[in-house]
Amino acid sequence: MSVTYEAGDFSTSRASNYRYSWDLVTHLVGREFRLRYRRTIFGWLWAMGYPLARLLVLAFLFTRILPLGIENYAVFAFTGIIAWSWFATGIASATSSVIDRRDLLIRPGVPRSAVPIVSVLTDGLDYAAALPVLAVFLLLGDGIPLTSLLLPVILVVQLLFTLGFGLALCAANVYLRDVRLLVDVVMLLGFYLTPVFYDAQSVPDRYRLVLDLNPMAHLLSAYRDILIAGHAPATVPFLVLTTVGMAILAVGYLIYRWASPSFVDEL
Amino acid sequence: MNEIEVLGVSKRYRYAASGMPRKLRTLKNRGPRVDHWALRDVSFAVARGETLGVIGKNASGKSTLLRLLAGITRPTRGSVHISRTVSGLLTLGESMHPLLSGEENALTGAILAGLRRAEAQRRLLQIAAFAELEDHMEQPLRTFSDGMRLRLAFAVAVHVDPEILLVDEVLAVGDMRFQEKCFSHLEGLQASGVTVVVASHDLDQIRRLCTRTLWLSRGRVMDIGETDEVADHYRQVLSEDAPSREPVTSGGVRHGSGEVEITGVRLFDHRERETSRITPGNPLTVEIDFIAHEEVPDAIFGVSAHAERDGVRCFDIHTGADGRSVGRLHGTGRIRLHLDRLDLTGGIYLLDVGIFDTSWEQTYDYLWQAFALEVSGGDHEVAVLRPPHRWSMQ
Repeated sequence: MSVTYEAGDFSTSRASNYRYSWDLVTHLVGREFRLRYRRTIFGWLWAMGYPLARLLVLAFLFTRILPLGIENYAVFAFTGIIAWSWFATGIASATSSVIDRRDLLIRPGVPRSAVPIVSVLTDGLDYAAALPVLAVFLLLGDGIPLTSLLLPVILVVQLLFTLGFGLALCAANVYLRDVRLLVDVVMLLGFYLTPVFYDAQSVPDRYRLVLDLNPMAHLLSAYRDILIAGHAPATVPFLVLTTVGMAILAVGYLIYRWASPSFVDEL
Repeated sequence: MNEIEVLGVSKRYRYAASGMPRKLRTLKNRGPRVDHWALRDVSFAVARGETLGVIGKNASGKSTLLRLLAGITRPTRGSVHISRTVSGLLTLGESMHPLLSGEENALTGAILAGLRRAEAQRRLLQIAAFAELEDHMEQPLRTFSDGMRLRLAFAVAVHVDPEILLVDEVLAVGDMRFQEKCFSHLEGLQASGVTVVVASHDLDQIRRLCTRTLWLSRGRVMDIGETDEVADHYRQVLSEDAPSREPVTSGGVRHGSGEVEITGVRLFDHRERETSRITPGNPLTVEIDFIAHEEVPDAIFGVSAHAERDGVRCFDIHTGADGRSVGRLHGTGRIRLHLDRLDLTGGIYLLDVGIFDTSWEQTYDYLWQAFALEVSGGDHEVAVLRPPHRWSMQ
């Protein structure tokens, strides 16, 4: 193994060792997740607390006060809430990840892209921790459809988008700390602009474009297709979505890769 | 065969000169900017299996050079060529978390240093044994003393089969005995063909470990060659030179602004023999060598001790409280503290040595746990004091 660092050049000595990278990322994700709920009485059960509280508020609002007439609203809203939460917290934590974990950047040979990846995946475990609740809701309703087995596929597509945005924003945030604050504001808006707690069908046609351009809107309808309606998402649009996701990840990664050699100088 | 080749390397850091937000500055492409060249046109090579020392004052570019070798940052100009995998002791224990156990932290450290998870798991016992923390590995790190943490971090860093090892001022870990162990371990690594680069301002360490030495001053190579020659040259120029007031920052074990620097600490027993071990009730002399890089009208010298077993502070003696003025300091000097009798119980005591300005507002140099003193006898002591005593039955 031999490396040459030229001025402006990029290379990380162990990044191409995939088995090592896998060990590194899985270990750090496990560690972060354990730390998050360390010394709490309820441990990772807290991961369900936030989505359940949100669900409670929304369910009360939109079934009792302003009924939206959506069938089995708890399942409908909860599917949206947990997926949206992963997207929003994943991007936000990836954005500030490099600043929070400077200690990982000053380790020789630790692949730099591992830092935001670990953040996004750790937040993904919160999603996983909420799945048993979703399963209970489904069982209380019409049961768990067989198409639920497709869930990992949709999660991977969501991961493409979250990581793609996360990597690019993370790089930007090193140079401009406003980015992290902007992300919080955009995510707050995004929660309402995404059909998390309302039905996409009820959005008037002239506003459709907002939903069409929002990858989370497409992902949420895919989640609801497989978890509630019990059919696979329409193939062609889903393949398009996946392709766009891969493109965004590629662009995000290239931006991150281009910016990361000088991270340590900027922190 | 050269393991490391550094060719014409310069490194520039660029700062915004004022608190002006970066974005506005870059958008308008103007506004004040300060360039700082941490390294200028540095070239050298290190052969496989060789140990190169890097000496120089603080802010001379030592750490920047090591960061470049580690690939943590890129040269602004020139190139760095490395032929094998780099491991580094650049910082110790930064990734450790107080709520996780010693074992979990060691595992993380070893993986971050480049081991596969299974391999890291296999070495845990070895690491714990080296750090002498076998009985503590299950406990959360927050229960560890600072010394224990550093020992663990060092043990992890040297048990990952380094091929090229970078060491930055971290050999001041723990007490004297543990430092000795770290040195022997490094010497073992050297013997097995590991290429080592050590940055330090401790010339004794450099002399001991390195055959060749590079001297940096304000980012430029002043001299490179046989360690003894370079070290003598450095010493000589240092004593003539009135150095600038640059803060000493080398981790938690040493800090100070550096106008006066401690260059050596030695202990002597009642027969004037250098020692690190006394018997209870015997006298002890602490000798401090220092160099005042610039003239200082007066200063306070202090020596304090705490028990290693529970951290209880046993004494804190300084010239300030004794109403002693040490007078004007300039150049090298030596001061001795004579303790007429030390009635401590058996055990290890860690000595801190410091030089401060007379108003206590500034620390010139402070060595935390600079020395370990062993007081013999008494395996199961729980108290600190063992006053002279006798019993009489009435």
